[in-house]
Amino acid sequence: MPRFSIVTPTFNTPAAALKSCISSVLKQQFQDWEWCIVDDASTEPHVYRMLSKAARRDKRIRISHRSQNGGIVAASQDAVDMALGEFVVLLDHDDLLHSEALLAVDQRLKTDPTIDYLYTDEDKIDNNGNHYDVFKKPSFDPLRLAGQNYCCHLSVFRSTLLDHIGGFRAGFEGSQDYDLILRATEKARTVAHIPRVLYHWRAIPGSAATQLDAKPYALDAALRAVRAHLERTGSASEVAQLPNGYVAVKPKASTQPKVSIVIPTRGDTKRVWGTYTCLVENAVAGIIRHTTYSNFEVVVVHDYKDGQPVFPIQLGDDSRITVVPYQAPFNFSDKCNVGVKHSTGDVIVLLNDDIQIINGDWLDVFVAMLEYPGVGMVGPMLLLEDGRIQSAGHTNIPTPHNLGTGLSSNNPGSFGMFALTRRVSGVTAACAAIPRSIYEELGGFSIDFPACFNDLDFCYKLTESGRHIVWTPLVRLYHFESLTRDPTVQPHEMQMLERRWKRMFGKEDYTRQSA
Amino acid sequence: MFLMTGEDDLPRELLDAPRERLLMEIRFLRDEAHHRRVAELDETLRLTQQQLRDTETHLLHSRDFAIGAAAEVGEHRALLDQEALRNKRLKNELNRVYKSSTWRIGRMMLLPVRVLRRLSRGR
Repeated sequence: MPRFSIVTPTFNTPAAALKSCISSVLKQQFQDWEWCIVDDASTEPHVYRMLSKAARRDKRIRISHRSQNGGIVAASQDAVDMALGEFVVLLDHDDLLHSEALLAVDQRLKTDPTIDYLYTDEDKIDNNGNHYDVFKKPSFDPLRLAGQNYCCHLSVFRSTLLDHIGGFRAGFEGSQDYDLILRATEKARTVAHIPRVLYHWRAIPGSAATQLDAKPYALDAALRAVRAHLERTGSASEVAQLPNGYVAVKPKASTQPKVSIVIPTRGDTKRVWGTYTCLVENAVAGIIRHTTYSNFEVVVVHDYKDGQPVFPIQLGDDSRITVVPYQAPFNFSDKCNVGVKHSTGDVIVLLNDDIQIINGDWLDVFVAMLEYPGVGMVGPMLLLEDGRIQSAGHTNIPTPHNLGTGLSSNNPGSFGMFALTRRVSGVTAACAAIPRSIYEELGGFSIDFPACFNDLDFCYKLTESGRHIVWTPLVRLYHFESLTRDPTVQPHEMQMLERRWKRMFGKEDYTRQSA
Repeated sequence: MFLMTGEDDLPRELLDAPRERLLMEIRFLRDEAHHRRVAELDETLRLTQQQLRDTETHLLHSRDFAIGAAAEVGEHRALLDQEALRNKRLKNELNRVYKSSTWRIGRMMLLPVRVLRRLSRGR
């Protein structure tokens, strides 16, 4: 039994592309493989000739010819049925494998016997052999996979898993591999990722690699595959096709826990959209007016000095609003902790006072996303006053910083990073939802970071505890950033961050791609 | 209404007051004592809640301190691992040098010098 069975359906493959494809398999440094090729009744005579020649040259190449054209799903499944190997490797008829692809996959598989599905990074190659569009993929992220088939190439499945899930399914033509990957990841014991480009996807005019609308039926099939996946996993969600080909998955919460929105404030008035506005009054009024979620309270932690507010505020007469006087010297973390201690909700939403909500269902989305297994924190898309991105989560590469700052919020970002709900290394505390139990378990915000990096520190604590942080573009808020405080980083805060977490800098599982 | 603190303080008018008047007075005094007690308990509750919040906040800070300390240990451990890796690399490099023909030839060429030095030390 060979270690790997490469499976490839062919149909009227251009001669040059087929030649390079064959050559890339024959150049594999790892030798224990077989290649199962099913020709789907090609009408171009060179396909038969070239495949027969290759099979004569190497006994590991096995060819089957279908008597009539059955389409991509039937041909792919026939090829899978021919496979005898321990693992099945999918290769399209005009694409290329890196010469070390199977070697690297074998090495990774040896490190963990429970790996049932594995994927690698990929790039595109044009007809002149130029490589471009390197996709440095994230570690396995089921939320992102529900919005985008980011695993795609190179995909390697344990044969027994493919048998168990029943292989390719008819009715998902054009997105049959997406459907297969979704079903495989639902059942796989371990999903692994090799952060290395081992697959080159040929982009020829008219292929899905170059234009989304080349196969409109594929977009429809993708949508159906995602719906079926969500049904199987029992996730009640609204699913919609995004204009850029991705799928938006908006989950619905199964319960309505009480949400406590904690807003630390001094009560400053600043110029917002040309008008002098009391920031916290503006934020709270927006929340009360637009929020559709019914079970919430607002806890405002207000700076006091000598028994009097530093700046007086008027928050209206609403029983859901509580004002907690804060007498101590400025410490953002402590103010958050005090606010949380005065709140009663099961979910905490930390919110800066220089925030204005945009969509009314923001709390519904936060609560629903906190129900995802292993998720400990959710953050939204934050926009600057002019509508550009202020923060789309954090990345640790090269050092911790906000993602997307200054870019257009209409831009889906590199490989959809700003269009899709996905795991990230961190989100800013300007707006973040955290279950109370987790906030308390992790000791809340560290008072050793009075102004900066308290959110980074908390995110690292959360990640170290084995939980995930999710960023979603489905919730958008304006963040009139740093209108209320000096954004200067104090040296002792930087030193403290390095003392605790320097090993994390430069390490990134989820946003390896630049924006 | 009168506030009574002892028999001597009994208002004169209550000595001959009708039963209804006395009952009213008793009700008033009971209500007043009750309100005072409620106010005292409210204040105690407020202080206890404040103490509880302070204690919980301290607990929060202690947890953060413990997690932070563990993170610092992790940082030191990562540095240690890095150093161990560097040491291993250097050791391997040294071993490679010792095994190289350049090193061996050099040792052989310098053998007479080493013998002479040993002899001169012997004298």
